[in-house]
Amino acid sequence: MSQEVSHGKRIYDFFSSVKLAVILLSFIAISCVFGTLIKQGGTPEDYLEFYSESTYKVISFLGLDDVFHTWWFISLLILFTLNLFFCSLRRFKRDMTSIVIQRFPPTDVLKKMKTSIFLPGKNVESVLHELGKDHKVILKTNEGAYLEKGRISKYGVHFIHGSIIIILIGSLIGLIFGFRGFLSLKRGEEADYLVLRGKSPKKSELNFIVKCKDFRIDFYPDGTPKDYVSDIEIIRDGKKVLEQKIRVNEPIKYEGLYFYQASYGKEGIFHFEVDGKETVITEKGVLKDGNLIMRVIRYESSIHNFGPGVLLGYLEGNKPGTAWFLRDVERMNTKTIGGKTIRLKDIKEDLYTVLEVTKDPGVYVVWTGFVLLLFGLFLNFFTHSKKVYVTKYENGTIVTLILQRLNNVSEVEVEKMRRRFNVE
Amino acid sequence: MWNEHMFLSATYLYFLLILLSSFIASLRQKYLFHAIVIIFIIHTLALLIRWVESYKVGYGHAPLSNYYESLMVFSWCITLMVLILRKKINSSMVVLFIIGGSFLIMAYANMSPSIDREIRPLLPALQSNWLYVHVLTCFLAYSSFFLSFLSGILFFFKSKGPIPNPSVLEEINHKSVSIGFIFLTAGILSGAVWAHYAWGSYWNWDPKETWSLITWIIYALYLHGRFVKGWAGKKMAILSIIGFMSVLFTYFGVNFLLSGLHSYAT
Ligand code: HEM
Repeated sequence: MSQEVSHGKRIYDFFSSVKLAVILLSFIAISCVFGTLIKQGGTPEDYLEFYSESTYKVISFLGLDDVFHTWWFISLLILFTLNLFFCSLRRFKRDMTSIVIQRFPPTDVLKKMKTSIFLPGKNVESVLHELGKDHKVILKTNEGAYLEKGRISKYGVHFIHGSIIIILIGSLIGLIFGFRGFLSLKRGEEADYLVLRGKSPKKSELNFIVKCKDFRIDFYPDGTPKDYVSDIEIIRDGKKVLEQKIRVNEPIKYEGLYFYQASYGKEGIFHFEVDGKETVITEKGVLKDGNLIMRVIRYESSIHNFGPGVLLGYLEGNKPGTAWFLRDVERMNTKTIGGKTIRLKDIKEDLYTVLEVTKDPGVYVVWTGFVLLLFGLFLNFFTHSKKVYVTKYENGTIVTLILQRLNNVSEVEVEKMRRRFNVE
Repeated sequence: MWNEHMFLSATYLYFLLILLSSFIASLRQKYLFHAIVIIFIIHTLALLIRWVESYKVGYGHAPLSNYYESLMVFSWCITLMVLILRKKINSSMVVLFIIGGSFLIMAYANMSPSIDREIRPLLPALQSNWLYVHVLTCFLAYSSFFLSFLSGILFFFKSKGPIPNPSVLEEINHKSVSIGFIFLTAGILSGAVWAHYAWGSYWNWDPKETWSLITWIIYALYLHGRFVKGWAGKKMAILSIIGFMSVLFTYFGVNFLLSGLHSYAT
């Protein structure tokens, strides 16, 4: 039985050790190096261009082409979180108990310390009266007293470690309950679904309608883009519930979903004349005229120097064929297919916007962690806790400072204390 | 444009100061900080003038957006760190080495033919107030780490000539890592918040992000080595050198060797 316990204790000790933390952090850092030096999420061809076949086998076996989503990397993160948790728990327990047990060091030891000041002629009461303004008296006997100041500084380290755990939990919440998708909309178009990102993109229904009223790009005088703006309406049960502009850096939020201006595209719109009759066909559209069926296969906004052109595929009865039409070349903009004269009159471009749609219920947990982390770092590095012993000695009083760490902060503090009591 | 002349003057002044104070002891001992403050003011004015001039050409943004501007801000932060930590550093030799760093960065930025020094418009992705917080905190971190790196290097030349004794160097090293760690954390966190608003995800494992995480882990190991394991001396000096190599890779290496969301700087 007792062996069982010590076995368990040994595992606990290992789990809560700084040694394990150093090992885990080093492994995480090394994995990160691989994850940036090797291209992530590429196709096999991308890798075979750089690496030999056998090297690629190793890379794909270890998942080095997608390090941050492999089971072993995620396990490292989980182990690290547990390690941090148990380590902090142990420290926290120790820090809480050390407050209760306080012993008085012998007076002659205190007298000899570098951080002691002797105040001749002053009694303990008057010193306590002075220090009591900003120090907390913890223990008082008839030889003297023990005071503390800024104890919260000692908790800085717990804020730091705790907040890292909170951030990791927040990101786990996002991983489990969140998703990422996108939506592409032309001007005037609306959709009640989005396409989820992933290895095999899936459609996901929304219980409201997203409508793109307008989309525009503004440019600086030198031609670089200045602003992408989508004018978006959210419609629910036939009623408009939200109308707002989305810009890069200015997403909108609706029902826990964020809509971001992620990208845009151009779609060609082709104006044809079929036997003198005007018709319009879009890039994804199909044109039917009697027994002739046509659709756009390829659109180039500039073919060599001949201007824009479009490759049409057609079915004439059962006979398939293709034909290029160039807008700006006289001989190439008119053709006869299936006895019909087809002329490309004009090509216009229409912009469409691509919105990134995400849901991440863990994000506020992560933000909380961020704030606590910075607060903890501030406490740890910019504040320090002080312990002060005030003891009776011969015809005066000794004031002794005990600082968390002995460095030149202690010299500054002792100097301050001297000035406070007007001692040389 | 005026800002470039100002930057160039500051560069020459850094050089002049380093040269003169290497020979003139009284300048080095008595007036070094006064001289640095004067150059720092000129450097600051140059940044402000560039800011104003960006409005004149119709773009209107703080000088924090392209590679040239980031180098100017980097060297500005290094000099600022010297002024903040002047009591700690307490050795004109070390100060001159650090200022030498500011000078080299300025000289590279102002004279290299491959660097574009024009004021360019701000791309939509960069139009955010988080840009300012993010870039400033990151460069304040990088410059503190530069200080720790230098004291790490000087540690190996201990007590030769005017080099201060190892315990002073260790104190500088530790102080600058502590400050740098806070700023790096703030830099990573502000970057994450910004990424959330710009791209829809606070963490994308983009190479620059990932390298800043690696750097952060190295300095976390440094702090634990010192406070938990009680490491000192040579070990800490080596760790601060490794840490700064990682900083350099985060800043330069990722821009030039790897591609990603942050590659605007090239
Ligand atoms: C990347 C994650 C971590 C960060 C950023 C971090 C940060 C810090 C910082 C800033 C300190 C204070 C150093 C000082 O005294 O000034 C500290 C102390 C400490 N950390 Fe961590 N830490 C991390 C992970 C861990 C882990 C995983 C463990 C243990 C398994 C751990 C154990 C400790 C211990 C024992 C101390 C000393 C506390 C004391 O002096 O009472 N840390 N940490």
